[in-house]
Amino acid sequence: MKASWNWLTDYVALSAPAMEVAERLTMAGLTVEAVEETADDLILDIEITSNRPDWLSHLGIAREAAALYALTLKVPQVALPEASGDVRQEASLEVTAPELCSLYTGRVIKGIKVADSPAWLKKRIEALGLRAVNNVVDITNYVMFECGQPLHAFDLANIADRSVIVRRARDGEVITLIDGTRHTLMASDLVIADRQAPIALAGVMGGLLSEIGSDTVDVFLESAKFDQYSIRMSAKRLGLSSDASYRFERGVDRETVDWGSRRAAQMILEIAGGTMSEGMLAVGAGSAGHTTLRLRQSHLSRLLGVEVPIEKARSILASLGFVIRGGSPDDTLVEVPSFRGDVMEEADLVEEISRINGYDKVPSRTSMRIDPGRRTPRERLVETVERVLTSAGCYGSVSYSLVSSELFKSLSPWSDREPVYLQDRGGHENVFMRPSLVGSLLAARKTNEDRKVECADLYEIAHIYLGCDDELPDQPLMVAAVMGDGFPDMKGVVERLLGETGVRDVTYERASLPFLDQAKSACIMHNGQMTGYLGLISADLQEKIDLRDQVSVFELRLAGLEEAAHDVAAFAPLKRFPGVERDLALIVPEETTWAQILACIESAGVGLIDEVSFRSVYRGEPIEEGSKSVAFHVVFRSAERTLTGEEADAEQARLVGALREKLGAKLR
Amino acid sequence: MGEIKETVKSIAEAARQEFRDVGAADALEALRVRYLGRKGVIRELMQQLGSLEAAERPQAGRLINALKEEIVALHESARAALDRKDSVARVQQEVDVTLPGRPMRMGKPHPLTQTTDEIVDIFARMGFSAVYGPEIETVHNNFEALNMPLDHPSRDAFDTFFIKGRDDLVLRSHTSPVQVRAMRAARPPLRIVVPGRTYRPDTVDATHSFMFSQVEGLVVDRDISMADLKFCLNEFALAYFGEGVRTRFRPHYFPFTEPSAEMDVSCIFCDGGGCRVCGSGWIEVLGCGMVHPNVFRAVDIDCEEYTGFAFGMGVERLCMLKHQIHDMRLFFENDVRFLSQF
Repeated sequence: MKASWNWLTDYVALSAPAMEVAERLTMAGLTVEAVEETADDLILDIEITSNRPDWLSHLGIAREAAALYALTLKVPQVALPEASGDVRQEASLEVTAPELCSLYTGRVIKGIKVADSPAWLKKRIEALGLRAVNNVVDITNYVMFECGQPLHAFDLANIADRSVIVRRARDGEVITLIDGTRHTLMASDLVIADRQAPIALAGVMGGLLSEIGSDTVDVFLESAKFDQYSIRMSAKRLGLSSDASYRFERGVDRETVDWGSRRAAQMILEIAGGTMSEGMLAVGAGSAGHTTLRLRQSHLSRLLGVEVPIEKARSILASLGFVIRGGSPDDTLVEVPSFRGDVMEEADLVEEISRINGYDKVPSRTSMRIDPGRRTPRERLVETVERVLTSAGCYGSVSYSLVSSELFKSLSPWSDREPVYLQDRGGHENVFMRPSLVGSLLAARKTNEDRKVECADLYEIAHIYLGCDDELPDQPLMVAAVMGDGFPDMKGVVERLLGETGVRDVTYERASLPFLDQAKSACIMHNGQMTGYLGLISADLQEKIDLRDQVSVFELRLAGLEEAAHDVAAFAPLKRFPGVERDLALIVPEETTWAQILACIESAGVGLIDEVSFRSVYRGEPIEEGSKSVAFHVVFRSAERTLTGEEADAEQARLVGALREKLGAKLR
Repeated sequence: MGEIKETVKSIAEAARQEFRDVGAADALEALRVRYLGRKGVIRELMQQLGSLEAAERPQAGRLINALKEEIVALHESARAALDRKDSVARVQQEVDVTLPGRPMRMGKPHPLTQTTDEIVDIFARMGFSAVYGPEIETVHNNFEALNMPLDHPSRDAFDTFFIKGRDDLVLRSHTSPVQVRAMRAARPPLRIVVPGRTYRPDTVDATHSFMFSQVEGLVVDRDISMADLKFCLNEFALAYFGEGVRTRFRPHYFPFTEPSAEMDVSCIFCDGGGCRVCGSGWIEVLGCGMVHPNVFRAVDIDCEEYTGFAFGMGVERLCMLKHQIHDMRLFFENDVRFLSQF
């Protein structure tokens, strides 16, 4: 809202410099964003919060300034001259949609002369960045910026049968507005109509046919209170926003409807001449009664953390237009003025008092009890995962959870269902919530590659979104990474990651995910459930996204792992006696897996085996086709004594015997 | 006389050869002792002078002295040669310490993650625990339970993505619905921070994005006042922006708090003098206020017994301010040249 300094000082005798007043207003909640100097005025650009429609007027801002400086607010006196003839002879009024219009008033002024506004009026209007039109239109705008009540003047001659009907639009009904635009209306729109057609889109803009022109002689002056929500929806749907709709959306003051009407009538009579018809057409109540709230000094102090004397609180409220209806300090009755629809309970009064008293009067101190806070399992898990992945050389990435590429759907093994789509809206069509993180990581890898950033190894920790039948869709927390390394390196990262989190009982199975290389990919199994996957991307996928490298990826479900994580390590005693170390190489059939060899060693019941670690696989001469040589390292050790070579030999023989028997393995 | 002349000559020849071939410092020292030492060759020759004719002595003495001088010179130059050899060998072994080391592979968390972690950590030191909630949220938790009924004009400022086919679900437009969940899940006292992603259908530009991150905070207990709010947020500002920073609280409007405020910090670039970044000397950093009684009512907490405060801040904005990042889009491109800077 733009406000003129000169105009404000009509209502409050401010002696402080404008910049200081601007600062005080800012610190009271009317944020002055800029002060612009014109030839003989200062224009304040003020950000008005949506709860304060009363501030969308010079009188409203002046009331605030008066309260801040303990000055008197001078509201202009309105005295209408003698009227002639009954308004009901001049026009009729009917409201068929009272749910969208709780108060409608109309006055008739006849025999006016439309002309340019006098210089002072023009200046005021133009100072706010508006275009001066003619005296009648300028006066309605002037009064709106004075008191916040939007007004509309119709050319009475262009209202068929002089019948004003406030009704819902008919579906498909068309109106051309003052700005020349044509709009098709719906039953949720409210219109002002005559017997034939709509003459205005209520609260938003007048119709072209009934506007005030140079030949207008008789005027119908509207002042009303329309339903906030319906005006907002109509203005939004039709892409129209006017100074009037802006105020109606936020709610105009019922009791200012009549004041605004009289004020505008008085100014029209003074400036454009004419005579006013006796009385006013009106449907709806001009007042809805006032709310009375209870203010407790104890609650005021409790909420602010500082004592504010009740006398001070009462005088602040009075300066803002509240009426103190007596009571004790802990039971002050406060009547809320009708223009303060936002004040509905005691907490609102506390804010008013604190605002004017100054938030800087609230001390910065606490008596909050000491509380060490708690680190949640999720935080600990995520921290460990980040530590491992950054140590492995990956950078954390953040990608949009909203995607539109079909590719994302084919990259998720987590659900067979359609992803969660968003409702279409301008600029966001066919957008869905990603069901996997891997697509985003591959896209980021590609972006880096295109920019000649080599080997961008990236990870992301974020939610994915799966199907939507329940109250809320499943939105598990995941981690995924893309790296330039091959399968063994990627598996090393995953193993280390799970090892650091302390998640146990993880196994790896051959994966058959269509977007991964079938020969070099695995499912990560935990408690019999697939909890992740890893591997090289398929050549098809690599080609489709045009990546230079056949990169590796992994994705792991973190949701659910918090409980499985054992991040408090239990100490294992250091081994005191030396072991006997042996390197063994077994010739086994190609299809024998390392897991089978390990399982066989475990079940062989060889008590003195302390460690088994994989060394290498060899294929080729002299090993026959269809077999491979698997080399591994074994440490035999006793917890009680140093083993002899003979003891180790005996254990090794048992081990090799078991492997031969169960796996057909031969020692190489 | 002829005899001693021959002797001196052959000693000189042998010494030249030996001093030229000497390869190590200890061998050189042995040579020195052998020729110039107390029982050395020169000394021995001198002692033989006495057995010569008196007339021959001066000439023989000169010959021996000349030999001594030559051997001293040979020793000097041999030592210099050895020193030269040593220093080349030393330099060949030494590394050029100004050469770069071998690059170490290490990544870093995303700058937004680092900022979120820092904010959460500061509040954790004041006893706040982190709580998380779903990003696809019910309309009720996102709006109604936060004192924002459907016809509320403030809902315009929280323009929202709706889920297709589900008029009751939205992408949360702020982290505040997690307040509602937390208050339903546990009775007071509560002291929580809520980091997370939020969504609003803004057009993407340097300062807007349809996805962004917030950190929300909530404290509920008996007798929590605005003084407690100011204390916690002042401490946060000092910890995050630096010890010299000043704060101010301006009244503002949020449907879910009353009284409400925005906190500004004195500009960290111009120290409050007014510059290109701040304009006025102040930078707006977060919104806050005392929990609105209607929010308590929506979760059945007695607003006579309990009071509380809440706050919320944009992670991108705080990160951009601290690192002087000018374009929000950089966060979501994941260019390693960007990510590696923080």
